[in-house]
Amino acid sequence: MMKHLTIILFAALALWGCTQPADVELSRDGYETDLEVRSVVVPDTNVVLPEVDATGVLPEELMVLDGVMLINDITNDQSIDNIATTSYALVFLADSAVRDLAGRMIGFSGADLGPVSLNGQSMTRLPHRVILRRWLRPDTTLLRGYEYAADLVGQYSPGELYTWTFSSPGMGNRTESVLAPARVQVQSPPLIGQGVVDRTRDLELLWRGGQGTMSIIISAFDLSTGKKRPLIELRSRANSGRALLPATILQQLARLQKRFVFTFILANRREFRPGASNTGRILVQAASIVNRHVELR
Amino acid sequence: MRRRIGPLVGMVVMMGMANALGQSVTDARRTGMASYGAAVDDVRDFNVNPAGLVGMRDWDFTTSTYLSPTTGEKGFVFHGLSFGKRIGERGAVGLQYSPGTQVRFVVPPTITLPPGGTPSSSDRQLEYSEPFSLGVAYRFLEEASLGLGARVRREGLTETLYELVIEDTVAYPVVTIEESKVTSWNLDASILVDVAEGVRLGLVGRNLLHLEAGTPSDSLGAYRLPKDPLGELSIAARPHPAVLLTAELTTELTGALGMEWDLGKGVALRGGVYLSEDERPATYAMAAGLGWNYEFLELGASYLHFFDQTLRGGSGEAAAFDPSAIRTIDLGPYSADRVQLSLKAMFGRVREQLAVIEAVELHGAVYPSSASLFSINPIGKAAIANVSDRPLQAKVAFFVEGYMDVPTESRPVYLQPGQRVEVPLLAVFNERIGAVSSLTVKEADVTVEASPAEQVDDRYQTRLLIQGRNAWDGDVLTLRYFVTPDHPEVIRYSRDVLLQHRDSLSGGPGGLEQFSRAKVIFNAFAGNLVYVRDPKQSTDYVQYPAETLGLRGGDCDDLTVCFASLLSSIGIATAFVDVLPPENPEQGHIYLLFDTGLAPQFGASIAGNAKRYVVRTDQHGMETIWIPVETTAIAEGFERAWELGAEEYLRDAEMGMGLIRGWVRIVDLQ
Repeated sequence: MMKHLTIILFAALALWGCTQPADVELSRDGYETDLEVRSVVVPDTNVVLPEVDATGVLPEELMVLDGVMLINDITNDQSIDNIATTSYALVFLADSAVRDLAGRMIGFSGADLGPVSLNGQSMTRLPHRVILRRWLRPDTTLLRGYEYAADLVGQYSPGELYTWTFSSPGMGNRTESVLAPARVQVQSPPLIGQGVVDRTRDLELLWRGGQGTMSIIISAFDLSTGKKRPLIELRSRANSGRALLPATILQQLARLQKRFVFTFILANRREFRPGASNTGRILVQAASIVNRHVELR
Repeated sequence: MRRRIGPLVGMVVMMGMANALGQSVTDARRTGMASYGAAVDDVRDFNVNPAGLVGMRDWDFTTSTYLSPTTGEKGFVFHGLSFGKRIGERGAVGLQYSPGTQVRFVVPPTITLPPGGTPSSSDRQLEYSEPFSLGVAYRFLEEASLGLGARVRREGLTETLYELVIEDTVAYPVVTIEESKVTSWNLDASILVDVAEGVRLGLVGRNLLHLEAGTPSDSLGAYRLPKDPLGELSIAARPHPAVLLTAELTTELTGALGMEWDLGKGVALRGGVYLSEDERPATYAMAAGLGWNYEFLELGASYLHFFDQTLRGGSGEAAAFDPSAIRTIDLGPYSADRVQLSLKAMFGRVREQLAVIEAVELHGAVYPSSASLFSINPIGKAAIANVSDRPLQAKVAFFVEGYMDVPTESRPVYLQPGQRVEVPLLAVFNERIGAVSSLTVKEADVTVEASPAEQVDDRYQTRLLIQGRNAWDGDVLTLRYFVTPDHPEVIRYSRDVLLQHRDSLSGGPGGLEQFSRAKVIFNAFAGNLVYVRDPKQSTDYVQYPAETLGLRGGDCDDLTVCFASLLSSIGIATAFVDVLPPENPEQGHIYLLFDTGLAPQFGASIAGNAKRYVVRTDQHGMETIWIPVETTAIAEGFERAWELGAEEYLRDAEMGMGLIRGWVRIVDLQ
């Protein structure tokens, strides 16, 4: 009897004890998994594309788009005493490919859309410049077709619905709208002059601004040439205004360069097809962009 | 002795210095008492003080499980099991496997890498465990024992490393997992000393030797647990036999206070508090527990509660993580409240002597006729004493092989440690006691059982005198046990007589039926039996009625018993009149009264002289006429026996005031 009881008790205890001890979760200042890290592909092309710090659109994305309709508010935080802000609107719809004498595609001509208005105000129709690769003929451009621009300096209005109106042979009369996100304010990483980022410690990224999706492009900055080379994209899932970049990533970056540009892009984006028979995509975007230059040691 | 252990004590104290990792907490008794260093007396959490292993009796086996209700654990966690074995009279070994003594700290990732999602569930995993421990102990003096313990500690770090691989124009973030582990042995030494009656002192030097296998990476090096030596001083005292108080203090200025209260019936109540000057509040945890033991099993349950729950909910801040604050894996700053259950089983030579029989005294011989009395009245007494250090419940059993089917147990008695009590011995004899024809000497066993084991603690063999079945101790109170109205021979005899005289009985006057029946039976009885002297020339021999009827004769005791049996068998109440004249006790005598059932007002219908009968009141307050009969005058017939009986009753009971003075007793036989 007692033997049986013993067996039963031991079995019961053994059954009860099948659970593993619970882990103790050590969070980093309350940060949760938020950033999705993606590599940035620089297209191998002869087409000279505008840089992401100006458009808020990665070159690899631009390559597959048939056009863009942009409202961009851009702040360049080069250093504590060199901060500049600009805002603009741009409409460019590709018409046909432009090729060089060797037959290599070097760009697209811009479609003539006739009068294009933004919130009832006419946009300026400008000739579209196709830039030849600078190593071949520096500063040489070709004018092909048109693009439409408007200077919004002092007029960018967060929360405002921006609406374009235009007509084209392929699309007929068309109206496209996009909501302007809040103006991004970046608290961290520190500006050059404010502090240096320690690569051995996790980097806290802090910003303010809502009404859009947040992505941060980290580009290596060559001081001698002034060129930026986008390396990785950090997409914030929650746009909670804070994220943590592990020190191990910083250590890898520091092996490449000392100075970097963190481009914070808070954007509202959507795409549309220009016509039923046209499978291309046109990006409509309103973005607040902050380019913060950072020193990493 | 003090001089011999002095250097050892000093050595252990001097070896304890500062921070150190303690030991696992796998048993509910240890958790419930909080302070356990001087209370270790078996394999349960022996690594608290390995010297306590010598408290084992033979084989010990324990297992335990726990539940942390304040964390995300879905059920009970198997904490561990341990084995212990006593080696000879002075040595002991113990082995513990405790997979539940483990804590894993996880730093979750803040980034993911597509495609394929998150490459690792964490950026960093730190795992600390003490899965094995070994202990040996040796009692080098009666009052002191020495112990050595070895604990296997494992520390591991798993890190997720991110790398940017640059190919052509693309920087690919890739992930590698780096693991680093180190296993070490930490050796402890301890002693336990009984410094005074009920007071025990314990000393432990922890991490006195540290042996390591494997080389930790630089990253793991920053997260190593402390391994510096530590000293622990503990004390246990019994201010009351049922109460154990404990306290302990370490060189790191941590400590604990505890108590264990034996409530009896194998139930123990435990409680304690944990103290540390580094914690806020300094009394940072409390525990309560219950233990229950039954025979070789002991169940334990405890609840451990931390007053500050800040870090004990299964999460914390990575920046604030300090591995040097983890003194023990099971009682560290991240340990959660826990409900603990444990079981201990003892095997082999598991009994310690709890009680002894100091003396046995029997009141006299056993008379088979009255042997049934010993189921109520003690046959003797046994003096027993508690020789254990805890209160006991004890039962004493008496057994005579052949004449008892099973030992007859006394009621349980409660004994404090050292207490001595006398316990009455009872005996339930079987029917074979009635077959003893002559004086016989038999062996009788007296045993004592004491809780918690409820097994025989001591045995005392004595000699028991059993009289022959016809022996009588001379007390008229026990003579009634010879009256057997239900015996078939008696019933048959009385029925036959009444049947033979049914005609004369049926024509008798109304109300005198009982009187007439008694008279008929007596006369028939007189015609067949004769009074003889006691066959053994003693008053200590009484024949059973069936024997008297068979032998057709007997002395006054036999005839009185037989006539009483015959009358009782037909429903007539009878009583013995026991006469023991104080001036002539050798002329003691017994005769009989029987109830006619006739009310006193009808006395004239029986006898004109009221001195010929006795009026008695029954238990219902009814008065009836009783007839005294001197059965020794059986040969002279009923009238003469009645006449003599009446004369004797008048002379002894009434005129001699024997009833008032107590030398005449009437013993009713209903």
